[in-house]
Amino acid sequence: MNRDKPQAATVHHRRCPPALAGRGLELSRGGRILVSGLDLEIRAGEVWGILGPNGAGKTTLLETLAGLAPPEAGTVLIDGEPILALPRKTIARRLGMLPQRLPAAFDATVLEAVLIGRHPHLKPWQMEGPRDFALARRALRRTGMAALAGRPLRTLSGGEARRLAFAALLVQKPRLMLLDEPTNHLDLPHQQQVLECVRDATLRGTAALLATHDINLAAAFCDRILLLFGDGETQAGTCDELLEAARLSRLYGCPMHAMTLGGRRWFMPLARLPAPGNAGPGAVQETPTGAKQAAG
Amino acid sequence: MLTKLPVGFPRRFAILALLLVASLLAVLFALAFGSVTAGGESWWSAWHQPAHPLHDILWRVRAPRVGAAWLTGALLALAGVLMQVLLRNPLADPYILGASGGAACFALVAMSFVPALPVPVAAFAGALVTTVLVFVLARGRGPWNGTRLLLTGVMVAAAWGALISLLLSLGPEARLRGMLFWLMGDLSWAETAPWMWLAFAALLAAMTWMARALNVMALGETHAALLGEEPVRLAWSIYLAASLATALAVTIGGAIGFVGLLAPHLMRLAGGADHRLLLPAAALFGGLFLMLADLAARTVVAPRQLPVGVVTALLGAPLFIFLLYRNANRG
Repeated sequence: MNRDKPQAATVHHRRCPPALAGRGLELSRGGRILVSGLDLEIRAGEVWGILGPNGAGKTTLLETLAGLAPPEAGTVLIDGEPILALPRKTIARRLGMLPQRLPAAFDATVLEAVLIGRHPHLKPWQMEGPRDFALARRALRRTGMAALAGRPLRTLSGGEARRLAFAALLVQKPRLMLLDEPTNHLDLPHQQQVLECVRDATLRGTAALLATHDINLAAAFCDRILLLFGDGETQAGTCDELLEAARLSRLYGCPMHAMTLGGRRWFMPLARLPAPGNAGPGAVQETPTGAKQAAG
Repeated sequence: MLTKLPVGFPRRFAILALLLVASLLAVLFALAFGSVTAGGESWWSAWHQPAHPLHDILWRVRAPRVGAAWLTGALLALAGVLMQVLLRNPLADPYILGASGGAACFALVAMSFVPALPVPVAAFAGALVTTVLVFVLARGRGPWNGTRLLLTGVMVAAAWGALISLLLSLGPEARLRGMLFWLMGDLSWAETAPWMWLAFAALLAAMTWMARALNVMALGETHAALLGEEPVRLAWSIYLAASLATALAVTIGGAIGFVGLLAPHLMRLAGGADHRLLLPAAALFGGLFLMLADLAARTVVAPRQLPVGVVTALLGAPLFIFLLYRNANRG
C-alpha cells in the first residue's frame, strides 16, 4: 500500500518524543468502557486511520487526544508534555481538529470564517495581516472554495461547510491534525482534494489522525491503523498487518470480503441488502455476485 | 444603503463614522428639543453664558438626561451583544438571566419600605446579588454549561417576577405609579456619575480588545477550546462583563427593554457579526437609539412624559418584526 508513496521524514524524528502519545488510555461513555489500556505513539509525518463501528469511541478518542476531555485513566502527551497541563493557546498552535459536527455560527462570509483559523497565532487585539489573508485565500483555493470567498455562511451546502471547516484547519497550520470523518458529506473529487491537502501537510512533517468508516480509504491513505472494537479492545499496526477480512468482520460484526483490484486490496461488506423494488421483508437478495467472483 | 458599501475595513470605518456623526447630531437635537423650545442661537448663548435663562435647563436638566439616555442605551447594547455570544442565542437580551428582576425587586423594596435607601443604589445591589446568585447556582461542579446557565437565569428571573408582583400588590398605593414607571424603564430622574462612564469605557475597551476571542466563542465552547481559548474562563468573564453592564444600565434607567436586543441585531445586519466592529457599533447605536427614544418620550405628549421603555418597545417591536420579515424574504 505504501509502495508508491514517498517515505515521510519519520526516521529523523525517532529520537524526539512522539508528536502525540497516549499512555494507558481508558475511555468510557455512559458507564461503558470503550477503550482500555491503549498505548499510542504518533510521530511526525505519520497518517493514522481509526476504524471501528458506530459508538466504538472514535470521536471520544479524538476529543481526548485533543485535550477536550480528560480520559478515565492514562495521559495524553503532546511533544512529550501532558496535554492537560498545557494552556489551550499552546495546544491550538500545535494541534488542530476537524470535528464531526460543525457549529452554526452567526452570519459571516466564507473568507471571515476561514480567517478564524489564524486565531491562536494572533495576539488578542491583533488584526489579521496580509500574510493571514494570503494563507486564507490559499486554503480556499486548495479546497476548491476560492469562488465562494464572499458568500455568507448560511448559503453554503453541507459539503461546502465541511470544506470550509477544513480550510480553516489548514489556515491554523497545526503539526497535528485530528480529523473526524473528514470525507463526510463530500463528493469523490472533493474527498480527493481534501486528502491531497492532508498528504501535502504530512509530507512537510504534520501528523494526521483520521477517524473514518471508509476502510478502503484508510487502506489506501494511512500508514498505520487503529482498530477500536468498542469493548475496550484495541489493535494498532500497519495496514498490511491489520486489514484482513476476518478481523474486519469481527470489528464490524458483519461479514466482510476482501478482493484485489488494480494491485490494491479492497474490502466490502457481504451484507444482504434489500433489493430495489422489492420492499417486502422477505424480499432480500444476495449482493451482486460479480463482487464475489472478483474477490475469489 | 449600507449594504452597497464595500466589504472589509473601509466599510467598517464607514459604519462607525456614520454612527458617530449621527450620534453627535442626535445629541444636539436632544439638547435643543423638549418641553421648552428655543432657536439655535439662544441655545448657543445658553451654552457658554451662565447668566442666560436657558443655561440651567441646558446644563442641569437636559444634558444630564441626554447623557444618561446615551449611556444606558450603550450599556444595554453592549450587554446584549455579550449575552448573545455567551448563550449562543440571538434572542438573548441583557435581562434574560434575571439581572433586571433582581434590580427591580430591590428598587421596589426601597421605594415602598426603605425611603432612606436611594433607589439606584438598591437597584445596583439587586442586579449584583442576582449576578452572583446565578453564577453560584449555574456553576455547579462540571464544565461550562450554557444551557444550565440559561435555565438557572430564567428561573431566577421568574422568581424575581413573582416577588415583583407581590410587592406591587402589597406596596403603598401612592407609590404605585413610580414603581410602574421604574419597571417600564424611565429616565425622568436619571443621573450618571463619572465612575459609571469610566466603568462603561473600561468594559467596552476590554471586550473590544479581546473581540476576536468573542468571535471564536460564538462558535461554541469546543471550537473556542480548539482555537486556543480557555472556554470556561472566557465564558465567565463575558458573563461578568455583561452582568456589570446590565447592572449599571438598570441602575440609571430601570428596566428599559428592547435596546439590548435591537441594537446588536441591527448592527449585525449592517456590518456583520465580527465583534471587533459589532461591539463599538452596537454601543454607539444603542446610545443613539435610546437618546432619540427618550427625546420622543419627553416631547410626544409634552408637558407630560412617557416612560422611555414604552417608547423603545413601541418603536422596537415593529422595527424588529420588519427586519425579520425582510430577512426571511431575502433568504
